[in-house]
Amino acid sequence: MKVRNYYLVFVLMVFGLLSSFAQEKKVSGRVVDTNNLPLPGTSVVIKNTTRGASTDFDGNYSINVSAGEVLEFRFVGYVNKEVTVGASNTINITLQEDATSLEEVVVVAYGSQTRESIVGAVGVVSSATIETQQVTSPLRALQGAVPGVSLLTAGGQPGNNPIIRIRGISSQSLARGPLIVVDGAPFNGNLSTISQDQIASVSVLKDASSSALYGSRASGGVILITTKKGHINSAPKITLRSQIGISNPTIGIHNLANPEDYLKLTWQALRNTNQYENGQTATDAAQNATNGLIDHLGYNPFSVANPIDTSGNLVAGANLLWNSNWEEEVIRENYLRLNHNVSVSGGSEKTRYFMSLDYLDEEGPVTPSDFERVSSRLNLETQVNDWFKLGLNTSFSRSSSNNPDQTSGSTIQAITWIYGLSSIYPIYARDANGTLIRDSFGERIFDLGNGLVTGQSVNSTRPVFNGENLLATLTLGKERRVRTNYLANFFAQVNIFKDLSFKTQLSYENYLFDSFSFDDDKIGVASEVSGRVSHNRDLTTTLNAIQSLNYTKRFGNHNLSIDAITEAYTNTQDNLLAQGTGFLPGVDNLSGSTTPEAVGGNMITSRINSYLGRVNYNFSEKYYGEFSIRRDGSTRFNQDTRWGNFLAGGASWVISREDFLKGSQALTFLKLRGSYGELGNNRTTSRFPYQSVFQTGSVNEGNPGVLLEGVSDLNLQWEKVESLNIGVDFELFNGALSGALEYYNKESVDLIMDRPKPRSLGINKVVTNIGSIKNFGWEASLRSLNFNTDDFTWTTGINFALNKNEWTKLPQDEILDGSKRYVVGSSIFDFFIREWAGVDPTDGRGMWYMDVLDANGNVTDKVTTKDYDQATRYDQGKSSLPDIEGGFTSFVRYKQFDLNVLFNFSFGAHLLDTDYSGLINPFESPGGSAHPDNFNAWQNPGDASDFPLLLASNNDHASRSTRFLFGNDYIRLKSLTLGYNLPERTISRIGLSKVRLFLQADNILTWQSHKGIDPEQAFNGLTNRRSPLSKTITSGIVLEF
Amino acid sequence: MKIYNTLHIKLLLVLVVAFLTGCAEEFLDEPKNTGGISEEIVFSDRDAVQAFITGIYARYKGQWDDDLTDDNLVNGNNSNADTGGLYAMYFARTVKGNDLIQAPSWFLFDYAHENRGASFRRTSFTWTFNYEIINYANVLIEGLAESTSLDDATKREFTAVAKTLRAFHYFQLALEFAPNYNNDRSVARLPIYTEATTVDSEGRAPSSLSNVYDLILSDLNEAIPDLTEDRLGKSYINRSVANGILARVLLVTQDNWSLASSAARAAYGGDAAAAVVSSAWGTGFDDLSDQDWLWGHFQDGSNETNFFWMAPFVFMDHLTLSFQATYVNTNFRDEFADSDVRKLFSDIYSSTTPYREFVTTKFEFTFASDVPLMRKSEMVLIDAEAQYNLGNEPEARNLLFALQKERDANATLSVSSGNALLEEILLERRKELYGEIGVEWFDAKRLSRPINRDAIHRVVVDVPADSELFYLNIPQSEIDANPNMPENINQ
Repeated sequence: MKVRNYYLVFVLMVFGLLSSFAQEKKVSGRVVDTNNLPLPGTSVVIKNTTRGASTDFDGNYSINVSAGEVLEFRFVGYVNKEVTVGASNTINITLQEDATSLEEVVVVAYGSQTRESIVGAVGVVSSATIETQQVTSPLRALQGAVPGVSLLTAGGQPGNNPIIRIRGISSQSLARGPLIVVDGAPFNGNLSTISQDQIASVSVLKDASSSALYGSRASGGVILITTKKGHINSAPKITLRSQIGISNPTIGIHNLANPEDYLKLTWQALRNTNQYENGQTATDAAQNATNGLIDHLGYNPFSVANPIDTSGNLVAGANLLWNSNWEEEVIRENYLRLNHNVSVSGGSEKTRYFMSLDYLDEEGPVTPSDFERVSSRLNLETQVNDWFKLGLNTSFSRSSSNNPDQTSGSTIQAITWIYGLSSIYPIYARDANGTLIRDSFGERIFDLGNGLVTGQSVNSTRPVFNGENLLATLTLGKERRVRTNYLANFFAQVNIFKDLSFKTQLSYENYLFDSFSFDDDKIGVASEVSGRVSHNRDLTTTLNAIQSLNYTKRFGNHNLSIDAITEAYTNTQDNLLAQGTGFLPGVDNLSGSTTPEAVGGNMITSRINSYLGRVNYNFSEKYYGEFSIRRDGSTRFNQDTRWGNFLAGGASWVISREDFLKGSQALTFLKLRGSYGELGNNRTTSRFPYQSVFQTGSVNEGNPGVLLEGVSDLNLQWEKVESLNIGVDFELFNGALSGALEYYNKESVDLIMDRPKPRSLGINKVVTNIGSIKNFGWEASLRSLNFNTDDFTWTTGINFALNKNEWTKLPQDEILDGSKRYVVGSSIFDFFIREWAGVDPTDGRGMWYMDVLDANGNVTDKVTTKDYDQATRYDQGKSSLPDIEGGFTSFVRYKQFDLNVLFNFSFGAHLLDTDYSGLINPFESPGGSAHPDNFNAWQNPGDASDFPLLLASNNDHASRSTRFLFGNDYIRLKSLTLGYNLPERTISRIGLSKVRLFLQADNILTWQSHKGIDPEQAFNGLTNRRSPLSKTITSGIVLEF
Repeated sequence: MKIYNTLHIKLLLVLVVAFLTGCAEEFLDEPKNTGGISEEIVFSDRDAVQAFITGIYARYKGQWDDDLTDDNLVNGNNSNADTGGLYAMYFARTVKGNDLIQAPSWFLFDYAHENRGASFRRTSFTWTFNYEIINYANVLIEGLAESTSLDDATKREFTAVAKTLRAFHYFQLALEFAPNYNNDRSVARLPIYTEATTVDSEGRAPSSLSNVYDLILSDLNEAIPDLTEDRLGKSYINRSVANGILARVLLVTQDNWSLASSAARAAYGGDAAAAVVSSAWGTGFDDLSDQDWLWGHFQDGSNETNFFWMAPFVFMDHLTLSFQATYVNTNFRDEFADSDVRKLFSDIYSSTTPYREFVTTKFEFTFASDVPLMRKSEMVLIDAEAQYNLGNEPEARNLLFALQKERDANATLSVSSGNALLEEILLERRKELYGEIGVEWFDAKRLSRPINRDAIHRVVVDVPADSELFYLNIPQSEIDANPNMPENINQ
């Protein structure tokens, strides 16, 4: 013992001598992040030497160093910092997080990698980006943030999930969206059940090599959502965030005619039909239109019997008795959005945790679509001993909303109603004189337009939407949707040897969709049966088990990592329906039903069993290679065809690590990367697409019935995508300008498609593997750090993608699909419709172009025709897919103030606006709303107009043609955040570590080429009476302590 | 030493987990398609075959769309009140005549004779609906033939039902999509299929009308001997119904009046006076159990109802909350004697609009209203027409009178002869069957007569005899998808 002490003293003496000789001293300190949390494992290196140390669990370090030497602090995901050692023996360091850091850890398939080592195409959105937006469904934050990700939200029901396409349309009939993976497990619930604050990062895997390990379901790309975790050895940090704001419709809906205008337009249509279709004289035609107008419409909102005179004007003295502005009744303004959130995170030496509770209340544009959600999460991870680690991530979420229908095709869908029923039809029942009818209590009665008072000749029976009243449905009926989602994700990791580890992960998801609807017992569709309750409970459960072995080893400059993984996935859909009628007033629960009307339910399961392998190799972090293979068996295919193999590989070369670039001050980083591989798609709508069965459930005279559902292809097999990606990443002047450029080309083969069959076969299609489609294009992102001083920071970023889509193989020359035609060489969304040739000024009739064919079927001429059925459909060379889309961001910080803006844009897409065409000349059947543009219609021979004459008889003027095909370019200010952080010295006095006040505005400005409705409609370029999206302005506060 | 202990524990953990993951093929074989039952099961059991036939009748009266094959089809037929099922096809014929007037509501384009375009909903529905059922009939015939577990009697019985169904729907297609059979039997507009559609089936070229009618007649003639009068209910086809269909077909072909007579008699039972007794008049015309009714749609207001779509009830009844859209031509109303139980007309609106003067209370709408598809009274009138054409005018008058006196106590035996007698029979058909099966249109079409509308109509269109307005265009979707359908079929 003594000897040892002497020895120690001796050593110290020697070191002391040496150090005094080199003026060496001991420097210590603590390394933390901007939140004052320790950064354990930070490497502390003396520049240009091999000497170094690293921080402990508490972020503390100490190192012997000479004055004048430079200490370099490095931590993955943070900006490196260099400090020259001076007189002080204590150097405390705060490292800034680096959003674009090459060393940033990126979550990838079944693991994570540094950004530098990625050989494929991965886009990342961090919580910092998500926090600048208010997204009820979290993935809406991806819009404009990652090149190559197209995203649109159809309709304004709060909590609506966006439709996401990554790198184009990779399938025709199967799911085209990405696979969503939450903390490593495939997610099948509703995304809106996850609150945005729980998310640490979102990775978008775009190419084959990065997503290959999800190969069987990754043809539409993969989105990995990683939830937040606590930090080891950190004190509990509590964050409170509260936001209150007001929303309004962004764009709204198309303009509609008021009652007077509506009557004038209908009169014009009636007169024209009388005169030009039925051959009456001009005088008779006008007189008959005047006399027949109210009878034609069924209702008279004016005080005189024939309110429109024979010149088409309102007669003198006619008073308007009512004007039903259905839009104002149904679509509200200045509706509330509330969001409160509290989270706690921290950790001890072995255990770390994150918990959060989020409350959201969003009223939504359509009355009364109030969306309310509570979501919570607990992520826990503990290192049991030096070889064993356990973790459990759980979340629970419940959202409830009324669900006024605003996207379906039903007549009581809010927008369908507004567009489908003109302002002349009253909300409340009127007698023949237009006086309100009241019930025995003196209350008004909703007008259903189906003859409330027998024998009342006017104001009684509507020509459209009989038996319905949207307001009655919304106020007397109930539509409730409750979504409950429970996720548990357990993992255990065993380090078997130093380099070999085994991990097991078991995740379970339980998603319950509860849908309740009540139709009133007195008014509306169910009045005949004294009310109806329909109650669905659809339970989706997913159990996923992953076992993986990982071997990581470094041999000199060779770095090797090998994974072997098996996965078993079970997804079960378990639905239950009960429906009954016959309710007493005030009763709306199923137990109160006197007549059961329908019951239903089914439980159906699909499974996937997979075996995966992956090898990663790099040489001196300069040359990277990756190879993976996946073999999947899916229950969606027949036994003989159910197994699919998916291979992928990739490589990258960090050129800036080569000697010839090492010293470059200008080009500080340059990397080339490329990948190629196969991905699969089995996500058919049907779970057994290779089987045609006899569907049960029909009934006739009390006997059970079954019916055959079409014809199926027993040999159906996996749809595959062959994907190539080439990219370059660069950084100039140490990050002043950085960016990436990528080219990709992915071809989907063995597409599972509908082979159209003529209806005379009794079916309309057979689902089979036919056809190939290709998506290819360029993606670029650029980021510049314009200023970066202590007081002032300014960064800008832009990203965009140019995508092309092209059929490469089809089973027949052409397949017509609505407004599109599939032919090899054209895209899936190229419009193939009749071409509008304007209005013939002599008779006001609309014209279209048609080809003239000779005896051999060759086109000899192109002429106009007034017969729509004769008109030729042409490839318009216009697609609903944009030529270019992307986003632009800018961040400015001046002292305590910061401002962040995000624009997203899309150019070159086209929209076939059938919402609009439905409002143009709707008079062929009475009752529907009309656009004021109808006043532009042709009136007299010689009139030059692009609007043909209005007709109250069957015609094709508003039928699908280029007349209603519009360019759909837009730029939207998607989010704007202005924040103020109170100075630290002020708030530290009251025990807070952060106080931030901010104003946030979403979707606040939109510039668009086609006005009237939201530019975000659908990838196929078709409108569908969708409710408007919201623009929201909120103020908020963040407190941290 | 310690390192080996932990290694054991670690390996044990790994092994336990690996063991729990189990065997792949079993894991994948286990899930079964619970969405329905397979063809093998259907054709292994009498009850299951019966359920297939039941499913077809449920389809007749449902809210029809393409949902069975694809609920999300881009060019699919969506549910609509005017294309909801078999009843909608008949009501479209009903509103094409002169006796009834349709307000601008559902069926307004059919009423105005402007709904035959190749891309219109009517055209697409009528084509698709009938061919869909024809394929079911073919599946049934093949499945029965190939079944090894069904007995011959069962096979014979259900094959006969399937052939009757096939004949019935080819007959409807021929009526809807082709000109009058008697003018030119070589016109080729309808492809014929007698095998079940498979993955590899291709669209066929259209066959001549004479081939279509040959198939209809051979199917019916083969089916009738194998059918019995037994059935699960009056919404099902039995021997009488098959005979009734045959009688209707022969009204079109007009080349075998004696068979038309005997088929009609087989349908109504031979005793005209007993056959025409009905309690439906004035009570809502909504009950299958009426002895006069041979065949109809069944509804019971609970799980078997299609709500607000069931024509004619929802359109013709003006006293119940519904569409209230069908009015009666005053001149038609005047054809009825005051003592006729069928004179169920009233002026409830006192409207100044001429066409809105009269509505009928023949049909009463509830969710439980059964819908007539075939009645014995119609068969008696077919018999009368057949007797007239066979030159047996006294018998024709007697048959006519059997019905007339049952409906109107003051009726007298007709003294007409020759064409006047035929006109009287045809008028009686209109008076007896208005609103039900499109009798005016059917008679005008088969007899090459015009439909001229009185001035009172909302839309006055005169349809000349044998006008193209008597048949629909072949749907564009068929032309697009069937390489063997001539592109210019509609020109």
